[in-house]
Amino acid sequence: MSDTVQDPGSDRDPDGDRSVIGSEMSGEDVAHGETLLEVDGLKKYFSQESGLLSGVSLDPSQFPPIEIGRNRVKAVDDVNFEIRRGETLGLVGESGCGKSTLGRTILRLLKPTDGNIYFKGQDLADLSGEALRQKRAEIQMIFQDPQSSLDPRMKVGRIIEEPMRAHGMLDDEGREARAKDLLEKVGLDSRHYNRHPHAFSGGQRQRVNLARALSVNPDFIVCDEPVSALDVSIQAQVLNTMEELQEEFGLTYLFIAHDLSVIRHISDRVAVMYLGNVVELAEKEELFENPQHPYTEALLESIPVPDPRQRDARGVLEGEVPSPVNPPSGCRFRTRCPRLIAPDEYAWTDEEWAHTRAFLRAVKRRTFEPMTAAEIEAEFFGGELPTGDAGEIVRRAIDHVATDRGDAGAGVGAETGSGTETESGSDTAGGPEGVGHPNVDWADATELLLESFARQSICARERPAYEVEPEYGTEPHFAACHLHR
Amino acid sequence: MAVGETQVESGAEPATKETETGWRNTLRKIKQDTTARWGLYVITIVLAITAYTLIDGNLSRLTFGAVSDFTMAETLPIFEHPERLPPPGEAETNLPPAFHADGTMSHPLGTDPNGRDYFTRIVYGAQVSVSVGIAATFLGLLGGTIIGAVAGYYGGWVDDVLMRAIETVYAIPPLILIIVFTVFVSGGSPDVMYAIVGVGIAFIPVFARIIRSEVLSVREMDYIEAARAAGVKDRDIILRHVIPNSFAPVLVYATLQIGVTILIVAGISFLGFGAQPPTPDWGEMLNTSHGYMHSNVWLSIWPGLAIMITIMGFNLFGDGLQDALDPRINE
Amino acid sequence: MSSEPLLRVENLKTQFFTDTGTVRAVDGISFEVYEGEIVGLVGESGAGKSVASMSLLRLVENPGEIVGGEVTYKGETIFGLEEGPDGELRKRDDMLSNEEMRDRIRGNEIAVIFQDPMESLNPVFTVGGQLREFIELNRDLSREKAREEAVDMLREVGIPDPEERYEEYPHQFSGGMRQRVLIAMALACEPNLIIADEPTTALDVTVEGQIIDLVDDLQEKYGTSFIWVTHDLGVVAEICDRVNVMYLGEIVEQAPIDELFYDTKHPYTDALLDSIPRPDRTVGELDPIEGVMPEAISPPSGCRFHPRCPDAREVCRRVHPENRVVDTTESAEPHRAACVKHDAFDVGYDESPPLEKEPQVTSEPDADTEAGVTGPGPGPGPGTGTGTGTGPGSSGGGGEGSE
Repeated sequence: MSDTVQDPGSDRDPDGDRSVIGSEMSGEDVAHGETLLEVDGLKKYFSQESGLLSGVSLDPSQFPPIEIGRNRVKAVDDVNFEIRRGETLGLVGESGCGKSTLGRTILRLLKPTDGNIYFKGQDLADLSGEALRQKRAEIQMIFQDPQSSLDPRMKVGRIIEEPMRAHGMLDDEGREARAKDLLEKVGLDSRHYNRHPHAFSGGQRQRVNLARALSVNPDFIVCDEPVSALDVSIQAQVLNTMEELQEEFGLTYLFIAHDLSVIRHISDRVAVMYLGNVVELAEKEELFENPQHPYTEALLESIPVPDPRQRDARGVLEGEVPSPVNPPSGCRFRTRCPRLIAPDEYAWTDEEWAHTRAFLRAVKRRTFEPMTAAEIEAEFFGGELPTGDAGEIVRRAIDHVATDRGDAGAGVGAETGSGTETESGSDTAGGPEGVGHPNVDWADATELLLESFARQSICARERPAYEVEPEYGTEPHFAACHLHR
Repeated sequence: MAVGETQVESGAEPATKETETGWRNTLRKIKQDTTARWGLYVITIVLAITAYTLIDGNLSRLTFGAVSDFTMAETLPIFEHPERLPPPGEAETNLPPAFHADGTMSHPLGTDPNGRDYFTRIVYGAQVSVSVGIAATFLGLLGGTIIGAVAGYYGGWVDDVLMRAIETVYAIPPLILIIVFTVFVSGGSPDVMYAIVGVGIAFIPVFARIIRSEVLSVREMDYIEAARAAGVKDRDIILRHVIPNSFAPVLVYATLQIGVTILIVAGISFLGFGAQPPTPDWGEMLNTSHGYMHSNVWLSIWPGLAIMITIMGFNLFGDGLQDALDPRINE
Repeated sequence: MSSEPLLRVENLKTQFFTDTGTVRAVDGISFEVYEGEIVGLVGESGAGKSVASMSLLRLVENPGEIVGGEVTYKGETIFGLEEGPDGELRKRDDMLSNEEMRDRIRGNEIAVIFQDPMESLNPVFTVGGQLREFIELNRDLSREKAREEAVDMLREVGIPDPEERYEEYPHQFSGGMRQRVLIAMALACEPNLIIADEPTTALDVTVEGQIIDLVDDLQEKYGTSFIWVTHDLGVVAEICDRVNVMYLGEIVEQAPIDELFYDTKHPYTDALLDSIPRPDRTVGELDPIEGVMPEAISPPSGCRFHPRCPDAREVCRRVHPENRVVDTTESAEPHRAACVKHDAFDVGYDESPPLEKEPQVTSEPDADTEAGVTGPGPGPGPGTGTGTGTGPGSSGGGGEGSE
């Protein structure tokens, strides 16, 4: 430990400010291409409530009868990967998938709930207090918002010097010289040293951010959507600068973004996150050209391509991301997956399963208007229900939602019927005007279908993790999808 | 070349929409604001008078603890010694102001029931009233800022504990709190110093809450996280980033609060828990004068007027400052 | 495409009068929107595209003001000036009054969808209630009728279980769902034109895809025209029929979608296309546009893009090109561009010496330019084959090869 916490700049001679910028700093112990950072089983849960007694509840079934933190948002749940020195790992996912939380947990701005973060072999998850603070000289961060990431009351020079000051690096003059040097390195002017952040444009502020991160000569920089707030033409400028700096200083980036184009441009390897899990991780070319997870495929298909002759970017995914408080079992993507695997219990043809799956989702989301059984069959099954047991279950489900088949023998307009429905946990009896059909029971149908089919699928029972043979390059290709079992 | 220059210009001076960019800008706005400017004038005059009386050797209790023999009051002929009682029978007591038929020019505002020059006492009264008002506000501001910033920045149980404590103090009516404090701490001999501390403590909760709510939003700013990620110590983050960026509203409030404090200190003195005779103080002067309402109403009017003008000055300035610091008000 | 446009904008100018000077946010733009088409308004932030779209509805806020031009919607004058007897410009008599704009045009004829659905919905009222009220007011329906209509609209835009979600509050909706609600609101009065101001910018890609899908379907069904304001060329390529590219308050290129991408006529459009990373292929090195867009308060002389333009010549600094037809597509649609390198502008571009690039390089550290761009650069893109009018674009080759 003591060998790594030493201030990176303390052994430099303070007047050789040029040389201080040099790239070979404290990271000699990890060679280029070797693992610099390894994340192992990392979890970060957030408690939803706050206050003195938050998350504490009484549970008489155990001893002691106190339960702490049941309702926790599982923002990052069991994530494993490694980052090698000198590479850029792209981390992509939609908002709320936990990518920013993951970045901040790796930086130890958040305390991990569980798991390890090995940086140069040392577990950051164990560190705290002063030891952690000193470690921060080696890991830096660049933020998304160029407006709020710079203190409006501080001059740019002081902003860049602050990390150095915090780590006791160089003396006042040395710091100033280095700050000015860095300003030029990132494409600004050393005369900007005395300006306030408001005098800069968004792109320039992002450069100041870069200079600040570089000031303590870190080995590893977490970039949290560094260009997403910038205009396209400025984006390209900043991305180019980041690439040059990476080369010059031998930096390692964890590049978090939602924009797949940017990720494709800057990354060496790419990890795709969905609902707190990494669902796919592969070399860039492999991931974009040979995606092996249905979610990655869906993402790639959704991006609008700047080419009017390729108008195929479409909303291929239905529904919404489930709540991270209570994520689906097994594969987290299964509730939206267009390729959910059929449960083995029944003999299906692919078509039958596809129909049933579509029907299941439609019932669950209540996306269709109540109609007669025949209409439902025509709409979802082409008039032909699956054969065998599966067909029987489907028929029962249709009975629940069809307008002409009251279950529980409820006639049209039977008040008792709607009463029992409300009890069963759904308010589908309709709004105050009573538009809903009294003998339509969405909840029962949903439960029946989910229980019989969706929860029987291997996707619901086992957490997937497979290694796939790569088509491009030689890097291992990780895909968390049971299609590869 | 022209190219480069236009870009520099435009990059460097987005001028119009800039808000909260340094005190210089704020000052410029205050200068443009007539109301604030008048407030500033009044405050300047009042502060100048206070400063004069403070430099003067008479500031017995506030700094040196003892009455100095040398007083500037005696070097300037318009002033008499504000505390020293004239020998009985030598001076006229309860003189009306100079513009009154019975008044004399040597006592422009008349004399008090003990025959002391009332103008001198009003001027020297600023010493206690204003400086106590400012000192007490400052004390509240300081305590409130520290507590509020720490509570807001750390959050969690630190916040809970601190804010519950603050609320406890807040639940006690300020005047009662101050009186109880002065009586108990001073051990029965009330004094201005105790009043300052008492008022200061009573004000901590308000300031703490304002600062805390500001800090809660400031701490979400990325630059705070950036500082943490850079390894800056918490103490430095609070001092360098959190407080400077959440200070504007509390500063406005403090300015307005000085007026209120002066009033409260006057009230305390009026009740007899603040400055003690013979120390001149506007509140104490009101206290002594209320028995003479019928015989010499001017005894009450002068200190009342002094309090009113001072408070108005601070309020006008505070309003102007608020406008100047409010990013929504542009132009 | 009918011959008479639904909306015609001519030489529209909107300015903001600030302490520091007059900001010419929109400086003489002209375009048409025909029935049933989606017209893109593309540009970076500060290009004036939002101001332009709001000007169409006369929704420009102080200190902004429309100072010139003409906006005609279905033969009615939304904005128009004429010269008064004393030579002063004054509003024309046939211009719609504020009341008419409010009661007849906004919402009923022309609706708007904003970028941030959270700000467009009032958090303290239910989603359904807001939609119902909107319908009630604009379509003069009874409360019950309006409610039914609201539920129908929610269903129409793909909100599952609309009866139940009708009673929910905006915060209970996800971003995509809120955007759907806004689309429902915009469609509720069956307007002929919808102005969509960056409607998908705040959304995730998969949701964005869903919304684009939805708009496509609805557009087919209702035949509504759209003005689609965005900075995202991917979305433009996906959805627009014709595109206007804006730079610093002006439209610099106006073309049908395929021509814009495959037969690019303006260096700015070209540079913009070159500077974006692609999702569908790996781009080795990005080729950013140098510098930043200047402020609209002091635009450069001549062509406003010339300080950043790789093709700039001396003449570009002097001559201000207006948007002019430089080519015609196979379907006889005009392709307009505001660049003097085209033959349509006979101002001596070919003879003019190239602008010295040194100023760019030296100004680099001051402007937001890139450490990366070394010198003038070979500038791939449109560069070389100027003036021929046969599509100098780097990608499209033959140009008019659209189906």
